[in-house]
Amino acid sequence: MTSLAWASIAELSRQIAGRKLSPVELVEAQLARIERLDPKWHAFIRILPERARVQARAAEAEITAGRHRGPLHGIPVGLKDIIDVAGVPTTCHSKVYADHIAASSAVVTDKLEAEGAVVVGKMSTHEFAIGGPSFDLPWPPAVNPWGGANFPGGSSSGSGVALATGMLPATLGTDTGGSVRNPASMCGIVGLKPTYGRVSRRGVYPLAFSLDHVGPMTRDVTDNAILLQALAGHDPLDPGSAAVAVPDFSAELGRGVKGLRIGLVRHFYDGDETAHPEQIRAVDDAAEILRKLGADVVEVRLAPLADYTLCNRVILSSESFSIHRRHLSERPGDYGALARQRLAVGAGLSAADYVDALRLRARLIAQTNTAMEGLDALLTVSSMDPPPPIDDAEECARVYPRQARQPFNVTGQPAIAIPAGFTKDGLPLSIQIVGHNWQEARVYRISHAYEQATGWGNRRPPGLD
Amino acid sequence: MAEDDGLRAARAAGLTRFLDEHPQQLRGALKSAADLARRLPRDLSPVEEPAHTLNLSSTPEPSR
Repeated sequence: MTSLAWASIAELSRQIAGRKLSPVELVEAQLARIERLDPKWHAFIRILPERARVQARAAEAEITAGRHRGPLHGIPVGLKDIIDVAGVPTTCHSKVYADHIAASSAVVTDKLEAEGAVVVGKMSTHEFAIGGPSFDLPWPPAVNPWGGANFPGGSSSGSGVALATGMLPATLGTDTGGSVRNPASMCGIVGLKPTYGRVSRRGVYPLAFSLDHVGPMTRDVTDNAILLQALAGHDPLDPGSAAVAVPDFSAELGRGVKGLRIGLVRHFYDGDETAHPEQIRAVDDAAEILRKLGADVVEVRLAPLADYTLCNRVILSSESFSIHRRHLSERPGDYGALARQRLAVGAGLSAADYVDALRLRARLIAQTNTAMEGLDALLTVSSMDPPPPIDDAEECARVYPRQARQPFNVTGQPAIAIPAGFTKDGLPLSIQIVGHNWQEARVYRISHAYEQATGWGNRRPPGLD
Repeated sequence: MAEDDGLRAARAAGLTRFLDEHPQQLRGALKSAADLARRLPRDLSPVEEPAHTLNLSSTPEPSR
């Protein structure tokens, strides 16, 4: 078997179910690795060793007694630190919330624990999922092992870094303007933003109600489908949760892409924006690979990328300011500089601006649906650039908004970022595949076919055993 | 929103302390807001309603 640190959920689960691997042994190995590596990479805000050991022992006892709950039983997971775990601080990586202890667990936490997953810790984030990378907060930012000390993307940065360093096999992030898919792209891992309403957000600190999603982050597509299976489902107490059936997200894995029609949104990265040349080549190469695998890949035009970006930013700024107004007025100095400035943008937007953005959103959704008629999915870029050095604030600020993820927060469609090669300097490149609403299984099918054909996700950062 | 209007709105929203302690940041944020608002479309028809994103379950299945 692959070393425990790099093994997939599917592989670990087979070993656990076959009683060749004990959940206690697995959790101890991961905790030892975290203790050794995290002081350098800062993926964790808080490690929960005793809680994890109790859960691992319980999992072991159940499995020994013949009660294996499923593929997540005994699997260590990490939660972005805006997701509540009862009795544990949810800091949102901020001094503002440093002492906030969650009274109850988020729905997604409960769902994972019901499947027997072992919660090992709370992961670093950009402050309140918006301000980062920041060096003026109570905890340091997570660092990307690709390139030695690079920006890991955000805001679910620790969730991405824990996967890229082999500290965890599964994490949760959240995505309001791309915050699951950005660290997935920068860290060379897999991150899915599900359809809006697919996964409950109850117990997750909001950034912008109508754009927020919780999403699974893993090292491969099969694992991502396993994790989403545990998370999905209607929550009548989450106003954004949809009462739709939960399909088998793994059902289409291995079926290939022959006969599927995929729209290549090339103008996003070679027209509206100009991506890094190696990133442009990675998406174009992916289109060619999917063609060779039997898909019909055709170029399509959506609305200009800037229209989606504008829509996302006005809605995000307005809703997040509503959420943070009290703290911004009473204790502005407790925020880091980046979050303080970004959250204050909403103070300068009018009610009419917000409503106009919502009306623009309806227009963009209709246009996107029309462009996708007859297509199974879209293929485009996720990040325009590979990860810059984390201590180069100017370059991080330049790269951060250069992305094509926000369109699918605006439309609510499922969208995944997966590894798509490396620059000549060994930095991760990625692609984004987008499906129709509620068709995560089709997104996984296409991603899995590409992943199997290329094997990009199998490479590990240099220097990490 | 012009800068003066923005500052008035920010004070009305309770950001007086923010303005006193971090004036440059608030001005920067208001400038970003003005830029965003300026770029919003001016051709929205009266019948174009806001997106009801909390009701996605009613969206149709794809055509194929």
